[in-house]
Amino acid sequence: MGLVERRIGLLFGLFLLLLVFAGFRATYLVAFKGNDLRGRAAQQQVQEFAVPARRGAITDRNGRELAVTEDAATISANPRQIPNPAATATRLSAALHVPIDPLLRKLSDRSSGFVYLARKIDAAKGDAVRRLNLPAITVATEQRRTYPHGTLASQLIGAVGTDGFGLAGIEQSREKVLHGKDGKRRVTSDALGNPISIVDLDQARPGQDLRLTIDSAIQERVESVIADVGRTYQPKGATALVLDPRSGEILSLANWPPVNADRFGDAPAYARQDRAVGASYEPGSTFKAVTISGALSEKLIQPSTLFQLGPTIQVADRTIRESHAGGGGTLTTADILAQSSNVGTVTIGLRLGATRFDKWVRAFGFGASTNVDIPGEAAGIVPRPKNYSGSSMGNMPIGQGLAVTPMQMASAYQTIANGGLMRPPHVIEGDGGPARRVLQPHVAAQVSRMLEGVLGPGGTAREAKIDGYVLAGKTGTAEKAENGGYSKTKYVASFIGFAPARRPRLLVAVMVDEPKGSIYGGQVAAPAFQKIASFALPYLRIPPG
Amino acid sequence: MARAATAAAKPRTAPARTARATAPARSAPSRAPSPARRRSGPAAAPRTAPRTAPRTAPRQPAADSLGQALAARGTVLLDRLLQGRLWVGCIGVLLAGIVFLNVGLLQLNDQIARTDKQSGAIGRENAGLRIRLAKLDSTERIQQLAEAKGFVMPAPGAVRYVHSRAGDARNAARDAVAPQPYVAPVPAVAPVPASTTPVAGPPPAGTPPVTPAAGTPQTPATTTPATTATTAQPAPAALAPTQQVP
Repeated sequence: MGLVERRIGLLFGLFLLLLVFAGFRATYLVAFKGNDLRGRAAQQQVQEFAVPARRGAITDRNGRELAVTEDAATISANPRQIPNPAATATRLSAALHVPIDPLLRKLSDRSSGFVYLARKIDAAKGDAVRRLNLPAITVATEQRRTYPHGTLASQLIGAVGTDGFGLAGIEQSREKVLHGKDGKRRVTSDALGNPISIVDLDQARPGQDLRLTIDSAIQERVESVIADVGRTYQPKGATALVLDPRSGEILSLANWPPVNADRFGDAPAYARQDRAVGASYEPGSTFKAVTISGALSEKLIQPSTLFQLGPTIQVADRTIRESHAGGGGTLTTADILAQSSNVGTVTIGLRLGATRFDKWVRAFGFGASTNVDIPGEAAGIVPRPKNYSGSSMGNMPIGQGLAVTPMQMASAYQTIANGGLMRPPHVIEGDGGPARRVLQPHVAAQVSRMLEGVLGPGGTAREAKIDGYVLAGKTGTAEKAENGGYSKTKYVASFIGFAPARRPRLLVAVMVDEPKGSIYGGQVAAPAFQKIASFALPYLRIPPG
Repeated sequence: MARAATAAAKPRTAPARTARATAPARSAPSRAPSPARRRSGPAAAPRTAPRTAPRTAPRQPAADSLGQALAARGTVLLDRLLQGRLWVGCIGVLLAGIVFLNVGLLQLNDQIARTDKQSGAIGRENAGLRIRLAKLDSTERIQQLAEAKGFVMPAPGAVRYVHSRAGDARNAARDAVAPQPYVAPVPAVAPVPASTTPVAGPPPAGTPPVTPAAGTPQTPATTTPATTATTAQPAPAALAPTQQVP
């Protein structure tokens, strides 16, 4: 065997040895490590993840955005795969601008293979963490809901939870429209982690924008006014509604105390509730317009009908008194309404009778939902005539013994302002339903004229006038029901009015729950009405009249 | 080495090909002439002479010879093509094409990934701008800024509205006059003495605004400012320019 043949043989042997080694290695990798490697490769190279649909924006009637969606980052970690938790926590702390201790605690807990370090934080911070390229730290892009105006209409708009679903308000009731449809994406990356293939397995469909009938300028003003009421009278709460009586569109719906929409869940339950639709209260004197409208419709009285009234009236076991001194005497129906006479209204209610009274109360929509497109609406409490006690007709005509929502009261006055035609109140553009006639136009006009007297000389809200405009409205001061009776310290002060009285284009309802200091609707709620109307009338370019 | 192998193979294949070529000649009286090379597809069952002979239509000798000639020519061409260097080149080009195609696909995917990332970044920026716009659009904020500059909200009763009547449009059309044709003023180029104090007041009609040349010394201490500043005292409510047609 020559030298050449020996060398060839040596080379052949060497290559054979290498081949055998490669064969054994391949067998080992396939047989023993195959599953693990396959899994790791799939994890590193092919990733399938959900693509959240961009949630639709909520805008006001002029297109100003009240709720928008922006990208956010969620940082998570696998503590079991973190080589040096202390160093990782230090670097993360600097990037996220958070204290190091909570991070270190989470990263050092190896009992779990997954832990959230930060959820839905600013996308810029997420990018900063991504650039650190830390092992076992994952930065996922998510979406979060932002409310640019903070507390503006927060109880109406509601909030979205961490998982992207509406939890309250419009966000909850219009979840299907706003949410859209989440997609699914598969990304294949190369060894360096650069994506080399992006396939949308299921295309994400963004949610639709929702336009409200709310006017953010009026809303801001209304919230500012009831915040003033809150500061002055320190009530438990306050609610204000502004409607266009011609269409039933809600221009503003505000509740005090305010709630920051970005931290909706942190607020107490009372503050979170949209009390314009969810809270029932005894309306008091604002309800007298309903009693008188029924009696006028039944042709039992006229605005000029004279009543000889005493200072009190006895109904069964109950004695009804006037709320102010010097009551009684000879009053017309218009005077009874302007001066808010309890005795006069009960007299008219007794003339109407329980059955017809109940018919008109329900005709105005009390005791049932107004079908307003806001979630959480209460129906109120209106007893049936068969359940009346002997004194029911002594207190129900003056707004006691029944419970209504601010929305129901506003809807009833909208009917009077709109010539007897009730338009369903609505807050989402295009949701308005067909109108329903409740009062004959001449009856609505008669009640409207009588309500003008409330803001005139001798009326209970004469301070609430606005120069150049003829206004109509009604004050209300109701004792709150408590322990089977009526509280002597807790009241609901309210005022509902519209302007201009002869051609109404603006209706404002203000309810103040448990004001301190003054308790009367004419002193607590009527000035708030005046301030709101003073802004809204020129803003909406409503000419005096 | 490959060439030698081909050359060695040639003599062996030649007789076989000859044998295949002559095969149809032997069965010519009873069968139709079969092609020199076998076509792809399932193998046909062998036909027997008594079954096929009566059904076979008689062929013209000229057509048969032409077909054989074409078939033989095609076979030779194909053989030369497969055994020649051109084929190697073709395979090479095809392989290179596949490689380029894959590289192109990878580049395209990389571009898609980058575009997707860019799209996400722009979308995020857009959302941020929308939020900023919404915050800046706050009526309360604008009102506060306006109040800081001395503007006041007119009282509701102070706002007067002009109601249009039926004849207003006709009267307006009657009273309207054609505008004067615009004549560009000749700019004055007379030198201004340094000690002259500029006179404040409205410029004559048609005079373009004069911008002081750069470097011209200003004398703010002796100059009376023009009375067009927006920080003037608020106008009385009765004079508020808010007359509008409803």
